[in-house]
Amino acid sequence: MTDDARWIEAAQAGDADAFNVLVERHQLVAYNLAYRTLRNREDAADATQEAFLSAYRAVRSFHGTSFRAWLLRIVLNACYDARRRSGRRPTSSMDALAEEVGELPWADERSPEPEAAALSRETRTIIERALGALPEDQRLVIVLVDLQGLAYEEAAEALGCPIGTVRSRLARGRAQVRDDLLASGNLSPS
Amino acid sequence: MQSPHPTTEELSALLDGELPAAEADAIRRHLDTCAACRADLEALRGTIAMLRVLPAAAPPRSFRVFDAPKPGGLLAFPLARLASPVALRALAGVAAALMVVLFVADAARIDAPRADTGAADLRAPPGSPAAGEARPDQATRQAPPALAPQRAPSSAGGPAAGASSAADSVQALPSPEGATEAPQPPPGFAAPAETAGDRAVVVTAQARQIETRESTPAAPSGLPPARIAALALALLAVSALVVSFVARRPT
Repeated sequence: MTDDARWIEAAQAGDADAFNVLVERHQLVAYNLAYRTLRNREDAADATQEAFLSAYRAVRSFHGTSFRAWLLRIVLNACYDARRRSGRRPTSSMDALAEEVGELPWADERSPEPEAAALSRETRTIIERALGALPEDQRLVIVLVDLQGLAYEEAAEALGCPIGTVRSRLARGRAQVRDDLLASGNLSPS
Repeated sequence: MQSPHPTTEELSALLDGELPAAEADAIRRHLDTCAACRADLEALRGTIAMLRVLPAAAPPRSFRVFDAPKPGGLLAFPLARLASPVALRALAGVAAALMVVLFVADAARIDAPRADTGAADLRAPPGSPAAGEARPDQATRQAPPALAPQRAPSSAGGPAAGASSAADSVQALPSPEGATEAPQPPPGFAAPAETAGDRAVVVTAQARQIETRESTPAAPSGLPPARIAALALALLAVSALVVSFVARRPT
């Protein structure tokens, strides 16, 4: 996201409209991280709004390379704060989650894989269940790297952990999802 | 020579291009000769591809920031602090303290006998920490309160009369003789909850005394600046407290 730079500079100089450009560029990713973390639409929206407000107030303290990673760290903290305030609420079942998730495709810089035909409902449900069953640290890394396209470094920054940790959690999470897909017959090794 | 089978972590990193070149080459050489590992790699690759096209949730609205305090130059840090609930409650506390000081300064100009009458009227709700501590001994010493129970406050003349009588009562608390020494600010001042309680006590006491004050000579005609300032501070303190609690709720 190299052309964030001009908007970041303007926002740091006090231009709220410039910051709102950043909001619109990153709100899909931010909201989805919150949604995947809190697993509740309303809570995710609240946490996302709080995160953007915090980011706006603190924008002058951003001096890294990835605005997205910095922002997503704030989103995660807002999610953890929301959890502390409300206690763990009952979350949607994984089936309901698979149905709730909208059809909006990911805006992804990478070219789509050949296998990237639309996933069947059954496959999506299997994957959502598998993700939901993962330990949260593995799930968050998969959400950031595989669902949202962050690089290892960005994910490490957003999570506040070393890159090696990103790498190992990612591998374990992917392996588990792979095994679930294989077991359900939704993935045949070529 | 067959290199050892790569770990899942190595395969995963290979697919992301996150392996050092030498390791990546060694693993590729192994994969050329090991069907089992190739199968693992392809299953992993297929899984990642599916994860990447998992549909996203649509945000319910835009999260643009509206009317937020601008991250301006020198004021950025203090402004961010001011928006926090703790800071707002501290502000409310400071405003209430200043209000008390103004009441006292104003009351010091009022005759002593009025102070005695005023103290009897001031009955604190049981829950108020500051009022509860200082007043029980006052109530027994003074005449039975002349106030009518739970009267609704009148509007226009109320605040002025209430302010003077509250000032009288505040003055009388630590000094039963009605001396003019300044009372301490209510204890627990730093604690937001107690400050709110004190404020509620003072406002309630003002309301109760309005009716009883009608017969006695009122304060000098017009509102003295001290009382105007005190009222303004009272409003500021209450507003700051309300905002601090409202701001905590999710939108």
